[in-house]
Amino acid sequence: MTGDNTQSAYDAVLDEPVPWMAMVLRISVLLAVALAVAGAVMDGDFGRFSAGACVVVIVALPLLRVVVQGLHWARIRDLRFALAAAGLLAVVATGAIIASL
Amino acid sequence: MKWTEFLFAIATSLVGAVGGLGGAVLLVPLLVLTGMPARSAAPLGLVSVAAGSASAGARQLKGGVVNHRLGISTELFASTGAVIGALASGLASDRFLKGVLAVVALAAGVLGGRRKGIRNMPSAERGAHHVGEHVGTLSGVYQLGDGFVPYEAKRLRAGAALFGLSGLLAGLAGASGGFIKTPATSEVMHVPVRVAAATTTFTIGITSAAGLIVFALQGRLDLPACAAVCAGSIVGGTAGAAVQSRLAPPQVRQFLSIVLVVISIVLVVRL
Repeated sequence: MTGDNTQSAYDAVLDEPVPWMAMVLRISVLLAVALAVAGAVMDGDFGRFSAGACVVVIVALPLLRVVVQGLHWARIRDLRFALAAAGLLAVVATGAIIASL
Repeated sequence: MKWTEFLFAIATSLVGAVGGLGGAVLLVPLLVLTGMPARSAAPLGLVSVAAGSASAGARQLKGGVVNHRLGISTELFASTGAVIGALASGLASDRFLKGVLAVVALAAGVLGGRRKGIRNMPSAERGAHHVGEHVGTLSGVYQLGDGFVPYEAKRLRAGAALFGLSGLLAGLAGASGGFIKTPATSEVMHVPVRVAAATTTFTIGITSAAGLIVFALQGRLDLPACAAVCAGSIVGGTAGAAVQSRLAPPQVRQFLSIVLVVISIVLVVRL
């Protein structure tokens, strides 16, 4: 063992990544690009709707990753990190509530 | 079509992706220097950050370099900072926000140019089947060339404090805060640079989402400009990632650092 490598990094159990997340990300980015181009190029209600939907997609995507990871950790009983994910979502929700007051 | 925002987003995301600092830290000051109020430019910066984070996500997940436990644990502090910063920016004067932006550009320039090399070394006891993050800890293994490197995050309190600061600056100025997060994760928490950078790319998306929700509820989003920046950032970020492998990132980072220092000086002069 060299450098900053530590014993716990050798002993710990490897977590299996959520298998479909990369595919969801890829499809969502394509959707965001299509909505962004439509929102940037087109005028009127459809353009505004597309632009708004594009913002919703890119805001929802990282939060979806947090939800998925939190549920995954809860399922494998890694409760400390499931709680951290729930706490993070609570922070974002609290910000939204304060901003809307 | 908001051509200025679109073209600036392409250029800054391309250069930012090559230099490893992200595009928003360049985009927001450039928009402000062309006459846009800082309070209008900040949301566009966060759109650029969110778009860049999303477009890099799938590729980084496939490589197994993102440590989600580390990212989400530290992001608790960054998102709290981002929400506070975004709420405060609605009350702050444009002059104050320009001052914050100048400090952010200067800090990004200085920290970006000083980034270090490899700290954690490969282990002969690890192989391809060990790559990933570990259950219940902030540790993992990643692939570096032909070797496999185990790591574990350290000094969590100091890291958390820096993440809180990065979130606050992101909420105030609209820059990603990645220029603080990546060095904090690698230099303070002793996580390998590649894991730190990939985990930061994941977490800056969450920080920007937290800030953008606040900006949206404050009615500060110019939707056509957001769409133009989103399209430009994805195009520029994707092109930058492709170009990155053919250029020497340290030289690009040094060039970027000089540009950011000059931008910060111009912002201060114009205050």
